Amino acid sequence: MEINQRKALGISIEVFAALMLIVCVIYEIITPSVKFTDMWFSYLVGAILYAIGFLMALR
Amino acid sequence: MLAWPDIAIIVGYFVIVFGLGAIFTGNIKSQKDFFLAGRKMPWWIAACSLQATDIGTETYIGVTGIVAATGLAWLNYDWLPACAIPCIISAWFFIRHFLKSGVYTIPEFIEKRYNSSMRALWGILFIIARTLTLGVVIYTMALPLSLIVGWPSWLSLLIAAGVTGAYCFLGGLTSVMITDVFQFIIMTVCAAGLITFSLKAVGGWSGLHSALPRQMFHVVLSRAEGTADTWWGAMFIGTLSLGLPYWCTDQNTLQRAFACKSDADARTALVVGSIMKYPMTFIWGLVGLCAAVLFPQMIKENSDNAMPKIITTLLPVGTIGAAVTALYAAGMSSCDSLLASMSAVLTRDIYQRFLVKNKSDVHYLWAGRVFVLLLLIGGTLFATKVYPLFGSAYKAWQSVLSYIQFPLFVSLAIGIFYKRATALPAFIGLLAGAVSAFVLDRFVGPVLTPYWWSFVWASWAGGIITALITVCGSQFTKPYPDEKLKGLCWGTIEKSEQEKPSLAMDWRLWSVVSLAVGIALTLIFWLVL
Repeated sequence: MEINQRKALGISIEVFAALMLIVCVIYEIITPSVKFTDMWFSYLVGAILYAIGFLMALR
Repeated sequence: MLAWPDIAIIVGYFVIVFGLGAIFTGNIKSQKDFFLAGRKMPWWIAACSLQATDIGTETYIGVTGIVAATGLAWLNYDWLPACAIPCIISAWFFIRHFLKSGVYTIPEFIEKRYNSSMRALWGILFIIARTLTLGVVIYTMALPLSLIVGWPSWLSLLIAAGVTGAYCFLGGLTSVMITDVFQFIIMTVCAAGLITFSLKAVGGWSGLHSALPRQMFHVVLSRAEGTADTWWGAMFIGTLSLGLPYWCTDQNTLQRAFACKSDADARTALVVGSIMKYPMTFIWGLVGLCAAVLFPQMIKENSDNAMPKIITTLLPVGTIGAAVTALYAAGMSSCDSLLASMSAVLTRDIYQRFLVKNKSDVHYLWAGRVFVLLLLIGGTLFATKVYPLFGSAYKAWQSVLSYIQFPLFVSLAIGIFYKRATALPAFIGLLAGAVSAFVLDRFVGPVLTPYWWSFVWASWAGGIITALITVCGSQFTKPYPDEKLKGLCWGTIEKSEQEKPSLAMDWRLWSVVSLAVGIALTLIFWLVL
């Protein structure tokens, strides 16, 4: 069966973004010296990548 | 050392890229699937793949470093003269002849237009030129983890080259193009992050503008303001000798266009790709300027450290990991394209054409896979030898190509636009042009005109010698019959055979947009800033 290229791409980007968000959240939780203000940009990058992946995987 | 989240993101990236590449293995059943992605690719995948291929680690690190050291004039290598204009020329004048002839590789087209000797020469010259490039690309691909993470370069090289080779081996051009898009998206998002933090660190645009001399922002420099490589003549005329061969006749680039599902998709991919290049390289240029303000001493010592330094000192945890993956993405997307194009030429133009004929399609499919592995091993071994000879990674890449590529472009362009051109003069002209370019750049130009000499003039001289020998020599040979040249030369494709593109895929419209953006940027960074 032919694999939908757009869907495969979208899911891969979603997985990468989810990985980024998860490790950043865990890092913030387990490291007392790290606060949200240190990490907000990483969350933003992860969220943007997730949104791109989600939109690509939709069709 | 990087924090563990960054390491986890980098490792996750490699796993995801391998998985994405390997998932298409089941689609590969023939040479057409392996070398040309089944000719099913839409323009947007081809456009992203073309630009991801063009942006290697040596561009990522090299452009930022060289802009930090000398100013924005180097962006012309990625803007109007060396990217947009050649892409537009390729879309308007070259690509339809390649697609019409149904070839897999440029040397195959050369045999149809000239003869088998020319095909063999093209194939061999392409492999020589690209083996050097592959060595540089693999070397610079290992830089990120060595510089940023501190891992030994052999480990960094083993991981990046291993994953790249694995998905190329399994999925061929389909995997290459799809992973290129993935890598292009990561590069783009990370570039936006990089510039946000870099500009913030220097006090915004006004802080950056006031901290550096005015000529650092100029893309049009006189010889007195710039160097032999950056004054306007070298940039706007000289660099055409690099851009035209790369975008019009290079197998490494055009293989993506050959993989498109239609003529309109291929042409749109080229032109839209050139538009996508402007913001990306502009951001790197600005990051380079910010590095010049923030780390002036380091830039004086080694400007190639600009990008790694910005990443490790300005970005937060998590984004550092993503930015390092973007560096890898740049290297891997160039390396995979080289592997795909070189294995196609080795298989189709040398192995299948001259060495082992009349075997099954599956036999040649596996030959292509074996060549991917051999090239990866050869390129890795070669990597440690090339870089020390040429100094800066970026300049090495350009100068290696310049000796051979422009004479190749000229002989093919004459083949398309001058029906009278024949094989023997073209063969002699090509050899003479490539050798002349090498001799001029190494022994003559720097001695006679050291103030003005740049390697781009050597390739122009080589191209002119190729053109003169081909055109003059062809007058003394028997012309080819018109039937042989149908579809291969300018004016031999019927108007009715040409597709009518939709508005979204009208490459003529996109060409106007690309030119307008390029001219506007050039004027702004010449007259306004």
